Amino acid sequence: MKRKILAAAGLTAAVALLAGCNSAVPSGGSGGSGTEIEILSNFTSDVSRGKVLDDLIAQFNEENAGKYTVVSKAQPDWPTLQQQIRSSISAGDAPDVFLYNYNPTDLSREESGQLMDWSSHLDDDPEWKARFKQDNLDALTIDGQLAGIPGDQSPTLFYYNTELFEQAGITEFPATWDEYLAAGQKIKDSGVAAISLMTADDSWHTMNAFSYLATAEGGPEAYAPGTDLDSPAITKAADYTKRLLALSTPDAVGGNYAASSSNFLNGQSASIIDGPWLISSIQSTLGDDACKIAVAAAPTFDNGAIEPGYTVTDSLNVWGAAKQSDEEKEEAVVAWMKFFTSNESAVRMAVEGEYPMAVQTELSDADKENASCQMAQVIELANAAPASIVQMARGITTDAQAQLPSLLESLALGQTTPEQFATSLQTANSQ
Amino acid sequence: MTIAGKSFRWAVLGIFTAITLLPLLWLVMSSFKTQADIFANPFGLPSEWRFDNYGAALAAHPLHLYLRNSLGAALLATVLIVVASLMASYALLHRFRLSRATFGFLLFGILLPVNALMTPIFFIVNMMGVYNTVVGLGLVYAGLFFPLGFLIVKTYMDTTPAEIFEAARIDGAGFHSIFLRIAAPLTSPGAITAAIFLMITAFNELLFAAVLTKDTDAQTVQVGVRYFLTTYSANYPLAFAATVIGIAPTVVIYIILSDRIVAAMTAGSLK
Repeated sequence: MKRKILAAAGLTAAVALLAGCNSAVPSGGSGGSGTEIEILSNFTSDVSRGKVLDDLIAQFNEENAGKYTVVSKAQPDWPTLQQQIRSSISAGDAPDVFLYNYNPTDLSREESGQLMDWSSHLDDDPEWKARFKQDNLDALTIDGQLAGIPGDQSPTLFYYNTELFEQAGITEFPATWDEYLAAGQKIKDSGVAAISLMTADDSWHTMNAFSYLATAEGGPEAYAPGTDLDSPAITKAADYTKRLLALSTPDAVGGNYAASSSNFLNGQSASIIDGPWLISSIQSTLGDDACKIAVAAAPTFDNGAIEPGYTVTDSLNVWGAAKQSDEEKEEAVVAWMKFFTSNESAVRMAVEGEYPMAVQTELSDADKENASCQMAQVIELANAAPASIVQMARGITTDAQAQLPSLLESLALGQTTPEQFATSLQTANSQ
Repeated sequence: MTIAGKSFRWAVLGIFTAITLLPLLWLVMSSFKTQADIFANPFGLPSEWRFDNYGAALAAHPLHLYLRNSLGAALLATVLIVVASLMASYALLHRFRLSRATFGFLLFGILLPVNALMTPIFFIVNMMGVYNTVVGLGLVYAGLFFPLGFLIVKTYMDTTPAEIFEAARIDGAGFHSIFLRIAAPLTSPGAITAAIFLMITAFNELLFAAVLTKDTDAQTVQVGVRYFLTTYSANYPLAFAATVIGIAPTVVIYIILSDRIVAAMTAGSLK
């Protein structure tokens, strides 16, 4: 009897638990608060861009009360977010609005037939259309349809700790890679790693350096789609990357983004090549000392291959939207995107969210004063950049991307030569 | 046993204990450090014990909701698998046409790389209208982990002497009655062992939990911990505190039921 009572109590508890859990039935469609749209991104409320997004959504919802309601759904992990989006599109149920990385070698999402065509909406509003770079719109136009709205194309730049540089006797950021290596050795001799690098996942920090080195030697077309990667420029980039890895922290081989960026933020390395999202972490980690971190354009080889001051950027991240049969929902999506890409929103995102958007952003003097010391420099450097080239790993095939960590680790550990690295990379990229 | 033998035994036990416990101790210790302390002094004691990391982790994200969802999904999957495993194992005690093929079919899932099934699973879950729900996640876990539970339960049930079933049949018990009154109760130690393993496996699953949910009301604690380690920032002390909170239920379950698990695992071999 006692057992039966216990079993019944257990079952009741389980049912109650599951009933409670069942409240997560997705809400959507039109309700008392108007047409609802969901935005799927990695803008979690823990980071400044997420906080600003939440504020902007609140403002939009207030201004459109009873008409539209925007809801943010944030997935903290970028690869998981992309998997979620791909799965949703494959299942024929693309999210209302979502942030994804554009890759010209993989147009599966754009060609799925599941995405909204933005071209007519932009053509109807030339003022809005003029806010985007035509190059970006051209890249996103596939078979005459505009697959998405350019979201961000963040420049990767050198963030360096001026205190650690000065401690090693370096007062100016090096202009050439050979000067940088010499400075890096001095910094290493002073007891700190010269640069934060990592080889796990997408080898982001290392591939930023590699991309700068390759373009510094071979120019903007050093690794353009269709280019043979078994080239002198790639070989030289591999050679210098190997030297940089020797000046990095001991956990660079096998380390991931979090470890690499933490090494820089905690003063265990003197520089890092990263996107502007790092600024949020710099501000929160260093507080009043944050301005000791300066921003600089990458060195060159001073060989005329490319004009100094150019930037290597992250891939173009795009705001895609599900093709809608409901006209009201499509109107809501367009209304939100116009609001989100307005100058006012873009300025807030840049100044408060440390997130420069891929739209024309005009900062007032007051905005510039309110921007963090790093963001002001990033905007200045990005505006002055004579050229922008997308980071190499973002444009190579998925096979080559998958092999990058092991190739870089073999290079760092001396198991392959720079020449073998270039050959292996070309082989992987041509499969 | 000689002194050398004893020393060897203690050395082996010591090494395995260290391998098992040191990462856990490191995790717990790091959860009381500051971010700078973790990197400056990764293996030392905290220079300042930050007990408020736990409060901050709980305040930053609704870990109690994530825990509830993890328990809900794991419990649903475990109940479904154990019940189905008991019934399947009992059915396979009897010889029938294609019984061997059925056994192979039910275990086939162990060989499948489940991550490759992500898109079809997403499609089915979405079609059933259980995307972004704990129930949907529990059903997926039930399918994914069924072979594991079935293997444990069947192995245990197979050790039940056939004479017991024969005696019950002579006493007039029918097919279903034998299952309910004889087979299932005698297999309960194996079923409990399977349940514990399944609960822990489902509780710790991340990939499907991350892809099949998008709301706080459905996300599990493993997904919740990822909020502290995002693409753009990594708050290790809070992430470690959240991880300790996240693994606490499974550790407690294991501590409470460790005798039962060991007894159930070895009981079958002595029958």
